[in-house]
Amino acid sequence: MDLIMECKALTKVYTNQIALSNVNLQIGKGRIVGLLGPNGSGKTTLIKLTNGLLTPTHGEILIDGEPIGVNSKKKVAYLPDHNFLPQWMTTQQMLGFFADFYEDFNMQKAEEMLKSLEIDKKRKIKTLSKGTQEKVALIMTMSRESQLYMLDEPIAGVDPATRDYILRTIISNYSENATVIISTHLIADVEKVLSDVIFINKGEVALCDTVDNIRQKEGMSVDEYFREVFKC
Amino acid sequence: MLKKLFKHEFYSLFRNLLPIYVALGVFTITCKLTSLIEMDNIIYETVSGFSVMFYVVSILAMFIVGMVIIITRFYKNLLSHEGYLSFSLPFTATQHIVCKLICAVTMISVNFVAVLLSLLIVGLGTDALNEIIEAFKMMFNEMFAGQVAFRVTFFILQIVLMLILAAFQSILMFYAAMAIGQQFKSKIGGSVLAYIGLYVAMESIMTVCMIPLMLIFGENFENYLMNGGIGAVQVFLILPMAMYVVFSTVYFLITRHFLTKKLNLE
Repeated sequence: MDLIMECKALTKVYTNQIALSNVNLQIGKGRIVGLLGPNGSGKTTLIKLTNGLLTPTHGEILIDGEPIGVNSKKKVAYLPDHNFLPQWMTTQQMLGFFADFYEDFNMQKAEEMLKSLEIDKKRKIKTLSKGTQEKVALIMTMSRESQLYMLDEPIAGVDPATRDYILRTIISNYSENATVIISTHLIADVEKVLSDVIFINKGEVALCDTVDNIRQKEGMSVDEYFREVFKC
Repeated sequence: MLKKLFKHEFYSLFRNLLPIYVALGVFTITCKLTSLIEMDNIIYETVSGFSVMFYVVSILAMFIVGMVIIITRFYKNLLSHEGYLSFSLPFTATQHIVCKLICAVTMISVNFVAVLLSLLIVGLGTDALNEIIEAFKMMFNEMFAGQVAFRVTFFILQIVLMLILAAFQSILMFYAAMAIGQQFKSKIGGSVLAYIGLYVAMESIMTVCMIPLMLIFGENFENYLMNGGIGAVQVFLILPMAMYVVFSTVYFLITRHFLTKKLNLE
């Protein structure tokens, strides 16, 4: 398998808590992967480690064969679970910012998406509604022609219509042969677009398989299986 | 690519200062005009008084707002939610710190030069400025009596370098305090506490370092400076300069450590 991401014995320990424990993962190119797990299971920690926002306690992550650093950041398009847009900028300035720093940023694609949503590029980010800001952040991320997209809770806290728009945007805009990793606990909404799933629980990988295999082996949907595995 | 980081950093820093530069320019001109034209009129005198007051306020605002911008820019851009974007850009934490630091010192220098130029314009041709120039001339003649031009230039460069090093150290101390402070539940409270801690530690170390000097020179320290001429002053200035370099390095390493190993954007 041609790998885009590999975790080797990855461990992250915070002051009083093990966030990830000896995680070994291999993710291939051209896949849409659901990183699924209950709150506090270690999903965001894994994504932050992949983007160089945290340093592993032990182990390593390789992106397209390279350790986390300047080169890996060029290959990963990251959508955090927080609003990261500088509030004082206009959407137009934001486009310029992304175009300046990411060689793979497709300006035309971004402008078309903004136009289709009728977002005024001259307005400052802080004057846009929370939902529109989230859409702008998604457009910026998905307008990169990256090898790996890491989307942390992209559909949490939005209405069902926006949820559909976000999923449609993800599916129709990621580059060919790229891998998309979507972290979420809203499995029913994303299941239809996933090719693989990773169940993560208490910092450990509980399952890593294709959606088809899970349905075939367990005779139920990923959402149903998730509910069974993580039953309280 | 690094050029673009500098471009965005300069723009982010200077965009808020532009109105203050304009205000300084306007009040420099009004102060100059009111000092040139003499009129025995209550309205004119009131306007003149207000323009002097606003002039002083714009100078103070330039330095105060400048520092506030430097601190908030670092905090917002690297330690708040904006940090998710900044740290996923293809740069290292060292590049982010160095870029912010150089831009901040440049901004302070530009502000300093702008205020100096403004004061010169306002004071040009006035008795007060002539008296200050004369006083400086006398002081320089006394200090540099019998010195070659090279030595004089070197001394002035030494002073400028010392001021720049002091600016680097002050800014890095703020950066280190904020980098430590983000570990606390209240990031701002933690940063203030960390700043106080760093300040106390720095002052204590500096005091301890002064003890050997006092032991060597004892009560003759003042005499040494007074009678040793420019050479003595130059030797004495090396001590704070070395201190600035050492503390700047320590603060830089603290900041880098926390931004790479213990980043907390929550």
